[in-house]
Amino acid sequence: MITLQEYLTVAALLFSLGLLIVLFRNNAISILMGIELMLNAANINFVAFSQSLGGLAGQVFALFVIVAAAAEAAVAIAIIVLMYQNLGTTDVEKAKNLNG
Amino acid sequence: MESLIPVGLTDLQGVYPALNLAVAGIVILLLDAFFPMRSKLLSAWITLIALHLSFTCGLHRLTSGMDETFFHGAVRMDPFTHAFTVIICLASTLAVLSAPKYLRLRDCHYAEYYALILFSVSGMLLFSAAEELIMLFLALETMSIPVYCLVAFTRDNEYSTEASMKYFVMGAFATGFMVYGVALLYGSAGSGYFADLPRGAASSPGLFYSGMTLVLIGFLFKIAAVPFNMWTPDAYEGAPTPVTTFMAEAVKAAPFSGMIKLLIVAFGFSQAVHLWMPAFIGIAILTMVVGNMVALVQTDMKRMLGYSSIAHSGYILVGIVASVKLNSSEALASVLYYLFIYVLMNAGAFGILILFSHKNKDTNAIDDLVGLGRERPWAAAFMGIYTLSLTGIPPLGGFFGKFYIFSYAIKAGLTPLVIVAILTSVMSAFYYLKIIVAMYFREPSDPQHPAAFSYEGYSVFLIAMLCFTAFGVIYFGIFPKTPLTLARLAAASLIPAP
Amino acid sequence: MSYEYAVVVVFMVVGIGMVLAPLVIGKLLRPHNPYPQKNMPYECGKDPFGEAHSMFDIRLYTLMLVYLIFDVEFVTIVPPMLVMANLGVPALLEIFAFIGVLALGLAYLWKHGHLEWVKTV
Repeated sequence: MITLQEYLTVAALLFSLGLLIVLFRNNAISILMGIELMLNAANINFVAFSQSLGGLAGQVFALFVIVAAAAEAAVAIAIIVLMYQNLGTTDVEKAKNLNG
Repeated sequence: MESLIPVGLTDLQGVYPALNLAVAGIVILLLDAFFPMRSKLLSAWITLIALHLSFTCGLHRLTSGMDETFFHGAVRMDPFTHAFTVIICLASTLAVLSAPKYLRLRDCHYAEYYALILFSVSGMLLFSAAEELIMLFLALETMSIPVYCLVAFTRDNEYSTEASMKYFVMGAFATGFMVYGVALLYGSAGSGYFADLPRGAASSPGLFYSGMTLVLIGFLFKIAAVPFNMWTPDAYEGAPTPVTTFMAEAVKAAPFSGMIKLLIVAFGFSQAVHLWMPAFIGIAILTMVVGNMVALVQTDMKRMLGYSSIAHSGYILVGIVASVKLNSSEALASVLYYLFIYVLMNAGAFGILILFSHKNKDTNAIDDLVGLGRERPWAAAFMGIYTLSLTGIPPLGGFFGKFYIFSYAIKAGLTPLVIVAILTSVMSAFYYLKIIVAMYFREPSDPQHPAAFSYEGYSVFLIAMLCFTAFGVIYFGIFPKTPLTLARLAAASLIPAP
Repeated sequence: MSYEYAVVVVFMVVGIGMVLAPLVIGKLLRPHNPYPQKNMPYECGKDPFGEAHSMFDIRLYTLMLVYLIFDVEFVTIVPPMLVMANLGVPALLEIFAFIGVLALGLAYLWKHGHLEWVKTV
């Protein structure tokens, strides 16, 4: 039997992994993957809590997060394609027209 | 399992302001696909009518004091929500009015602009109504995703693309934090309803407080508080100016609505307040100081207004802290009034930039405004009104907004915070006055060929927007009674009188 | 004294041995006869051509987005399907309303020609 604690640990590790990817990778697609990891870590939490607490709210929440993540990914990929067309790179560090 | 009553027509009527906008957005998309017209003004008119309907509905509900819950308590339409409906619809109307000519000059006048704005606004209206975490999250995504697209709206402009990329990365990052925090909150309380959340602090405080921290970090990203502000100047500068107008107002005001509701309803009990209040005070100080200091050295107007909008977030945070500390609806009303005035004066300042933007080049540098006072006295006078109001010079609206917030903060015993706020306000006068000095007192570097100020961005819509905002800033500054009464009505629904 | 840990040691030795033994035995028994074709991705059938990291046609991307919509649609109609037994017709109506909105999106795509393979931009 896998305990709630173990689920939460895996989710926390996954979240940290996603966080590190977003912070330290420069490729836009890698960053998108990191963000997806963060969202999926939250999903593991939702489902684990839903199992331990009873009730369906957590599972429904996870479904909605999946939907929102898909919508976000669709827009993100569109922006990345646009970025490749206009700037010729998908490296966010090389996009330095706006001095930020 | 909870009750299984299906969603009925009353629920749909309850969220009418948001639903109306979403339907109008779909209608615009389909109309444009099946009956394409060269001029997209029909789409603009449909958008304006839809926003107007939602606006009047919100105003009507606010004055009649409607306070009901829908969708099994996931959505609460209370006067606080209605007040934000009014503010957000007003702000987006201003953003829509400023758009048509600007986009046409750049060959980017597509009906999708209006549809995206409408989808985003419908998300915002639900955001301020959310009383449950799933609803909050979905509304947040509905609000943010169209804005990512809008920032990249001038498709072949590399600045716009880059801004969109940066905005997306930071926005999605914030969403990740928020969702993870929401998961922890749900786990601690066993329910997503705001009113049930305090229960979680008693049963499993570790989960609850880490969840609260993550959710609040997500919100601070969205309102661009220092140190979570790095996306703001880039996104504001790169986005097409009408979209910047939209972002600086509606996209700014909406997260405040969700945050205030969450802070008061879910995190309003004393142990939680003791944790977040000092952090918020620190962040408010940092936000005001950094926002104003960095704005001082900017030469680009859009960037400068971006930093100034960060600074204004700091003032609003002061108001929120004061109203929670005093537990007074009057103080919260001053926050709402400030947001209302902020929307008007900021929209106006961006409107002037749009008025003088050329076909392929924005008029954004402060140096571009040299001699405007002589060449175009009317436009310069309008710009003067907005900048003076942003500085906080009486009798304009911006002054009273700040004045009310600061006086309640002093009443709450937050004197050090107010001292910082006033000092940074004085500091902000330097960069706002730089605009006025450029317009009236500086000689053009090449007196033989003074800059030509052609009204290339001129359109009836834009003029209407400028006149309305200038009138509003002056009128609601001198006669703040009506908005203040409505704001008090709204705030009283969140903080009942003791 | 602590003989119970002997089990661990024996387990480790046997475990490592079971990995190493087949490798060593294989190395001793198998014939050694390398030739270049052995390094190809597929040893039989068609010879591969082009780069493994090939570019996909950008037009696939639009279709991918359309697919994504209907892929995720399934996720959102699962909850109403689960309660359909208790709720009956309203749940069904809710599903159809949802699919109806998606169909409007599809109509928009179709009218703009995003479903055509050769689209004049």
